[in-house]
Amino acid sequence: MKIISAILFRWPSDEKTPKVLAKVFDVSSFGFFQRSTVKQWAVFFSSTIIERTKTSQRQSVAENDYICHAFVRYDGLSGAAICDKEYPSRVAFSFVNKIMDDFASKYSKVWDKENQKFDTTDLESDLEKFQDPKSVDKLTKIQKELDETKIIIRDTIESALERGEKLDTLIDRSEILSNSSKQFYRTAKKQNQCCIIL
Amino acid sequence: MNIKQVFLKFYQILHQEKINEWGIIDKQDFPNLNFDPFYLETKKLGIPLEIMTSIHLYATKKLIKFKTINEKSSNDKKLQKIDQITLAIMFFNPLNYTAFNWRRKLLLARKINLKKELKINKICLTKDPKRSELWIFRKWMILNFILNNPNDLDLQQFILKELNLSGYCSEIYPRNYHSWTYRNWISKHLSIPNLIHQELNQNMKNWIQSHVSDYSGMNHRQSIINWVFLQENSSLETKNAILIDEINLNHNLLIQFPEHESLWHHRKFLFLKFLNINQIQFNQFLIENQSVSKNFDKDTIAIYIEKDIFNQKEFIHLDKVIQNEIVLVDYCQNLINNSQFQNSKADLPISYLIWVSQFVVLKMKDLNLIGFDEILKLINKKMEKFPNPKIYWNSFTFEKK
Repeated sequence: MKIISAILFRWPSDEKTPKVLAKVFDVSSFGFFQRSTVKQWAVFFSSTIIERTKTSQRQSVAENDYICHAFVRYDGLSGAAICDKEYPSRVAFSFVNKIMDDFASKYSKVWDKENQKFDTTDLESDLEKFQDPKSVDKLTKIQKELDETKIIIRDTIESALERGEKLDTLIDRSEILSNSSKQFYRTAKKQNQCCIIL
Repeated sequence: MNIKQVFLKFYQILHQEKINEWGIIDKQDFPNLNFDPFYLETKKLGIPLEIMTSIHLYATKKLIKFKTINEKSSNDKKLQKIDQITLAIMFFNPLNYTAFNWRRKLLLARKINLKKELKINKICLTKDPKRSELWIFRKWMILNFILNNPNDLDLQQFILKELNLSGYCSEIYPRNYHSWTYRNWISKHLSIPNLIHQELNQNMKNWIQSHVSDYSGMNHRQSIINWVFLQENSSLETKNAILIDEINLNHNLLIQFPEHESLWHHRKFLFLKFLNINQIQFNQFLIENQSVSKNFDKDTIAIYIEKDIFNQKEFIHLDKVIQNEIVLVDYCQNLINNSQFQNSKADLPISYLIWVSQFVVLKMKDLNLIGFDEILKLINKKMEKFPNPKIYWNSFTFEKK
């Protein structure tokens, strides 16, 4: 069971799309030459889900073998963690909570201002720590009940999209994915295979 | 560089450089990297797509010209050319059986180096862990050259390295049928103490704990256990020790991850095995209504087994086994019901309990043990708390004696 990525976004109510504040990845379980594509896909998946998550809401969206756990806070700070299907959801949300709280307290006045590069060493060490849910579970059990927010669970990205939106168009228009990733997605779909990266 | 030079450079790189992984690159994505025409850094070989297709085409055309050559009568120069050509084809198109067969002939005639071939096969597998032809070729090489001449190298060490390779391939591509069957085959060539210690306790334990819903790992453990039990020199004590370790491991995982079906299936196997290899005793009057205890003691399972001093045989207390299963199922079902993350696997613990009761009643009938009613009463009491599984309950039929 593993966490692939943890990405923090800034998404105040007056802006159209969420902006990435900081991102960390653990792609060691993928082949060397697939890693950049996996990272792109992780950012794409996370931002698509965050964009479709309402304020003060939690959402878990599954796609093939991975689940994106997303949380949008009341003030616009949002976090998304992509884990595989074995990683316990409760620990995943505790992880997202923790990185968001830590980030907000470290950069309290600064994170909602325009483009800045943030230091990711804390994020990286948290990601590494949480790769073993057993060892962190004792800490997170104290925080047993995540506040009363109900968690929406979805089986596919498509179910998270709004009416009329299609995943194909989103991928085509995306600036995050490189041309070859898009091409790969198109050919995989034509041949009716599931994307190997996913 | 023209195509012939690229082709020769490819052969040279594979033989001289240290590589542990290769992959296909789209040049557009990596404008900053140095292609010469290959990308080779930190032991990773990247081959641009256009180059791959041109090398493959060139090699396939050349191979056709060598149709009539016999590997025993030809001169070395021609055979070296065939070596270069078939290497390129094997890399880029493992479906071309002619190339593989040529390499087999070259190996048998000792024209190419076996260790180098195994290394190259490993590099191919890092990109295509699912290609059956590569696994079959590897198995062929080991069967024909290594298992037949075990004096050349330390066989046990070699096998452990092979297990690492299989583990790596299973990690990149989960539920990889070929790498698991290969692992199964080759681990059976380990000596038994090594097998139990390395495979069950060291290598695979971590795997199981971090891949809880991957049933291939558990299936592998089951086949190892079966294989060990088939060996004539394994005593009942060692068998029970192995099983109890496994049951404890499964137990600890279940109380953390009760919603994973593969763990419950594995438990069914363990339960069956445990009952099959031991004699069974059943004490009706020992069935009591136990309160659910949240502290699971490792040693509680050990007390199921008792030695009959006169006959020197071991037997298990079936009633205690069932009580433990009921307590476990109760705990897991409560965990699932109280979680915010409800899903369709919510009835797994209860279905397991029903399976246990069905099996146990049948087994007790076989052995003429009496006490079905007691078990059913106890299980019924637990079931009343969980209304849904009455659907399963209706399918449960038995004859009261």
